[in-house]
Amino acid sequence: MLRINNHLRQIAYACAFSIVIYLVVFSLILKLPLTTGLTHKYYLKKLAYAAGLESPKIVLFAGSNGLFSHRCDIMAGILAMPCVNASLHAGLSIDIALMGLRNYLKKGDIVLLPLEYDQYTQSRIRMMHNVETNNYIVTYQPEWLVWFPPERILRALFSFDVEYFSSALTETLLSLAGVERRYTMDTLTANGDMKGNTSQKGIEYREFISGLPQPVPDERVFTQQTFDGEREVAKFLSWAETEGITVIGMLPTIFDDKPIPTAVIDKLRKLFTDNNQRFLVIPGNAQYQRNCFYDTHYHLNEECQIRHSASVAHHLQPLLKEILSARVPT
Amino acid sequence: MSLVAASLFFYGWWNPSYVLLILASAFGNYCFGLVLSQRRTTETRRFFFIAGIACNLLLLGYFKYVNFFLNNVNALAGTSFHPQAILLPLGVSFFTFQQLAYIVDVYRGESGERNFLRYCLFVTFFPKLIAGPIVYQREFLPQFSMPAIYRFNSDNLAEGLTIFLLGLFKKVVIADMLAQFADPVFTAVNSGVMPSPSFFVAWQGALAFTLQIYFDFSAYSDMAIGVSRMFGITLPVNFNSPYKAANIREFWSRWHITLSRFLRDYIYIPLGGNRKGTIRQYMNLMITMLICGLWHGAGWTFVAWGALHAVYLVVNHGWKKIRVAFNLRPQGVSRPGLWGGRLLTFSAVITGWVLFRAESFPSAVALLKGMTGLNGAVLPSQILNLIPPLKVLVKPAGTVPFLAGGTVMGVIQFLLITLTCLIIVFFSKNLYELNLRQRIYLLVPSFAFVFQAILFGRMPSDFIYFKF
Repeated sequence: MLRINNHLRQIAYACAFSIVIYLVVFSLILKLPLTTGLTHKYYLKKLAYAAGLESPKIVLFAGSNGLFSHRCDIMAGILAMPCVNASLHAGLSIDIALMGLRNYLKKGDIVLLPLEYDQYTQSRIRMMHNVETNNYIVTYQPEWLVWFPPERILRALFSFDVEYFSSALTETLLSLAGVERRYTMDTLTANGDMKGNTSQKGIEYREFISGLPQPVPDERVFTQQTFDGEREVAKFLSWAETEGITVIGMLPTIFDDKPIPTAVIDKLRKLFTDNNQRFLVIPGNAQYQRNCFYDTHYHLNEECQIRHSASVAHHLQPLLKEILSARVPT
Repeated sequence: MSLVAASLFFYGWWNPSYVLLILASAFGNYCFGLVLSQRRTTETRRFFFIAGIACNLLLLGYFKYVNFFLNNVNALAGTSFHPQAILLPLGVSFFTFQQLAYIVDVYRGESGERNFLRYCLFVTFFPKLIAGPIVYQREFLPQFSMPAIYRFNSDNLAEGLTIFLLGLFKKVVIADMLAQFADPVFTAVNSGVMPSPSFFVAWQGALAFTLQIYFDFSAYSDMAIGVSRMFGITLPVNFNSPYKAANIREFWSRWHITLSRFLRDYIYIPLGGNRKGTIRQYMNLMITMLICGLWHGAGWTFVAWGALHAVYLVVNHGWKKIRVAFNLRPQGVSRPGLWGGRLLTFSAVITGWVLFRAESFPSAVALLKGMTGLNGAVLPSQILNLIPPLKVLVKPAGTVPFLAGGTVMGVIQFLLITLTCLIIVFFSKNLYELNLRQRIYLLVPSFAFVFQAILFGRMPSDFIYFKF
């Protein structure tokens, strides 16, 4: 009987030991140096750059649309204001991304927010289950776990599966071998923009781009319900107002196959204005021909990225003037 | 009684109305068994035997094949019979085949079960109800006569628990992960989104599915055996490292062992087996494997899959005869010969799985064309920059849709995962070759992933064999 019970006890020990090893290995040892690690390096670089800027400064933020389709260096020149591109990528859940954005901001700053359409439509469940975000926080930003409710802390700690394990091994080996991804620290401008994605380099993605669907939200679905992603944006807008930060919502860059429904734009505008913030729509609704895109939707090639940024800056000028002149000097 | 109730509850959880169906099927076959057990004239016994077989086949035919039949009649005769809205009862092929075997066994002289509750347990015992193993009454029912199984035994619990947990690991961690590489490729080809898959994409789909179905079915077999063992019931081994087979006959003696032996004992041998000459043997093989294909699914691709395996078996038997005739039989098999046989068998099996998984012949042909390189080969340009000689044969692209998430990192990750799975498949011992202590050691690297997948992972997919 004793021997038999020993087997059951050994099974219990093996299971418990397995959990302990899992937590240690994934929280402290294994990381994704070439993907999530690079995102973290981008975050630190951009944060350091922002810390050195005088306020009021422009902070541009979105998912990869912000990173690939906008150039702070161009906008800073036209607007004669410091500008940092704080965008990382759309894989991060919107609640955490906006939490991270707060670290860049000081009173008087102006945030440009050309968020991708699917950022607004994220559900609470999707945010909670966002493996990429959960992985990122445990491995690179464990202090952010304090923002999480207990269930999400558990989800974050147990967000690592065998695929992650194989990716981590692959990336670690490639990183040790000196292999770099298409995007590195060198493909980032000092302001935090992605650079060098010329239309010439983008030729090899043409076929892929031509087959992609246009990521325009369904008008009926988008306008008839309030999504958790919107609520997170509203929460951020409200916080920004109390901190003396102005937020200007904008449309993300997408294909021009079909026009964006007016009702969608109106709903987004209302989200910002209801929270005493602004919304800027440039002519053309930030829609461009497919040959303006680099490797996927939301990513303009460099020529169009520069053109779009200049257009945004020119249309932003009068609005900025109005905002800055309305502020009471302290 | 409690096990029967638990089994019916388990079955009813999916669709309560089908509990009546399985009970009716069990009761009907129980009655046929009783009648056949009694001493009656040969004609009467023959009548009830045929009636019993017919009832089972009608049940299976109605629920599984009626729409297939109607669609074919419509296609051939230009009629417009409407397909019926029939929800396939879970495990109908398994519990029907099991009861067919019971009827045949009792007709052949084995004693029928007199206790309906015990017979019910034979049919509905939940660990094996949905996807096998297909057990015979003679190996299953006598276990319930042993008083030991009604007492708690922690040794059985420990044995069963380790087998169950490691089976669960194979399913929720490995098979479901492989599905993410296989499903997009087959879905894209089936739906016409990718009508001409290129070489590497087609191979990704085929290899990933080959490994997925291996781990998926192996997992179910282990979990069924593990749970049964916890109750003190021993189920037959159903899966024995089939990709280690050096020829196709060996493959079928390792893959779904209990279905293979059913087909052998109740179809192939009664048809005459190899006792009536070579041509007749090959015919018998063909009939048996066509039934095997049709058993897996009501579709021509399944029939073609069965036919393909029949051809493989005929070739194998023919080759064996040639070797004997020309005295080519070496003393034992060399290591290169063994591995050559394994790789040849594995390649043949992969080809078969493409037919099995594709939803139509055009899809299967498109994938097979892709695998032979007829649709060209495309890889991300970053990989070609790392291995420039490949540029001669392979076209570069920025992103290759459906190839491991379209990223370079995804391709490398897929290679790593596939390589690891192939090493497990070809080189590692299976669970039944390990002792309890070794299985407990295996829990250390695997249990946390099971815990993660069940409580925090994505929704696990159904077992592939649940569809049959």
